Amino acid sequence: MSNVDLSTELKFEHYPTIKLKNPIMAASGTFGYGQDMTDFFDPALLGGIATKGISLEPREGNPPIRICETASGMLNAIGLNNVGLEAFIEHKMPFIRKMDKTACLVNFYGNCIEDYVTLAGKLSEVDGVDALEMNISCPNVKEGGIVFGSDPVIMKEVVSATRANCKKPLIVKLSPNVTNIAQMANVAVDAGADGLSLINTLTGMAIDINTKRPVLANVIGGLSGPAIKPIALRMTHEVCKSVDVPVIAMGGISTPTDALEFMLAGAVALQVGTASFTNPNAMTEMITGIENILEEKNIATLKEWIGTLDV
Amino acid sequence: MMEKQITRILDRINTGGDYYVLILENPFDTEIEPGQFVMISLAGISDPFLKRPYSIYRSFLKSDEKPAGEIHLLIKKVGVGSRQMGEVSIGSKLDIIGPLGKPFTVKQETKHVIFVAGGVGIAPFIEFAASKIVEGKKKTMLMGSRSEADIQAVEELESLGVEVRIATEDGSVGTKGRVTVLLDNIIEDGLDPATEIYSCGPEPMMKAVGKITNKNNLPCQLSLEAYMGCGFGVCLGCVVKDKDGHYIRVCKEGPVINANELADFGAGEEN
Repeated sequence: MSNVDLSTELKFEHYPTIKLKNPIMAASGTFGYGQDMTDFFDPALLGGIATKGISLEPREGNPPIRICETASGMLNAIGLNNVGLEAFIEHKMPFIRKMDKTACLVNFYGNCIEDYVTLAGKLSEVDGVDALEMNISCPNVKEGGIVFGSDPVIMKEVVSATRANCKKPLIVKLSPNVTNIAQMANVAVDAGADGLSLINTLTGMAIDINTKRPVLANVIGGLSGPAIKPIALRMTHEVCKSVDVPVIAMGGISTPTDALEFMLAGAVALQVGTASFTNPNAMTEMITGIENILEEKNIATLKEWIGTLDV
Repeated sequence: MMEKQITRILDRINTGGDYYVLILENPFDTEIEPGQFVMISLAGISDPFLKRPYSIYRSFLKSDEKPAGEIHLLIKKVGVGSRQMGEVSIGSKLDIIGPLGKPFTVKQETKHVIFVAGGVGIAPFIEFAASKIVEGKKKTMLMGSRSEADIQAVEELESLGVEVRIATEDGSVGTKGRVTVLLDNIIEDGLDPATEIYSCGPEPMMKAVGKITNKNNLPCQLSLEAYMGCGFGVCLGCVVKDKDGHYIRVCKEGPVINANELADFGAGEEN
């Protein structure tokens, strides 16, 4: 039994603190709804999970090819394939609800502001949901397809409207496809975000020289994996310096050392995504690894480590 | 039960052309069923980044005779991953996830099983032909390839009691033409009503096989190939459209799926 206390907290101004037994959460879209990973490990060992992004109606997603390997990472254009709100509550929540010591963040997205508002209202009522994670990296179909999270004016509008109808902590998941991430973080917090998570994938592309066509059917996809870690770390650092709400970091985190770097920068919790594709046990191995490193450094609690970056 | 394990390359046998059989220790305690696959990569090396899926060509659980057990994979060098596995030294450690996916199934009353394979699509049929579920049944392999260099595993199949018929596109061996010619011929000659067909190979070939079998109301299972991110159902990268227009995962709902359940593979063309 280790002597290191890995617990961490999401401390909100307007809601009770969410206590996490360790900082590792499964990132949205890399863990399904929890059930597919049970052969490899008990998901109740995780500090938290962020569910697959939920929309009002079920969504089939993009045609294949949906993924493409890149140097130290991958592109995906899954297209937010999900079971929809109703089936999520009926068929997926019962399993998640059983993990009462693992925080449940329900990730959700809309195609227009009204969708976000409706989803936030309905998901707030669902038993077992601890917080909502709002994906704003998708296009606003009513406003010419501008991505909500890439425009400060539209982002402010969608976050404030959603906040007004949300009865649980609202964590806004920032898009990295912006010029100034700290500015976007401030806009989100001013509009009522109780916490932030970052980064979503970076937009990218791959081309096949034999067919002379884009590899992905959707042409453009989101880049994830170790390739994006330095960018995610820089953005986490910039955001943690400029806001006071809890920050959950992600972006290429694959090893215990990666995890500890993001926490030095000020993240209070972490999400692991693409690493689980190549190693389904990555998250549980990371929890043990963090514990071992802190023990070697004679650090008794993870909280002493968070935000102690020496610049 | 799926597991992530470490294994070791015991041997590698070149089988002609761009093909080789990679022999690994079998780290699994669960019996592998024909049609299942594994995801492999060099242990601790993340270049290439993703693991590669390979059909299981032959498997042996740990026993007195084979204390480490064995998993055989038939691999054709086509890209970075398959070339790397063809070059690394014997004894190299690999990460392996498996056994994955839904296997082939055979009805007890079935009397004749016909395998239709194209190129490296032959891979799952050796394990299948050797398995108990086809014991005592008539077995025929219709094998298609570009030329003689792509013909694999004929002797193994024959030693397992499979009658092998070959078609090559250049006519270098067997019937000249595509494997679907062999399928049309065997159907025309008249089949036992208790026949099941199984196919694995390039997508255009399986689409053609699906259309022929559905048209003739013959039960047919296809072992699909797809780009896979994870192999165990969470990335949703490897989907295929079912007959109702829903995307299903090749790694989880497949790789073996009935041809009459797949859009684009002849579902709905039944007579």
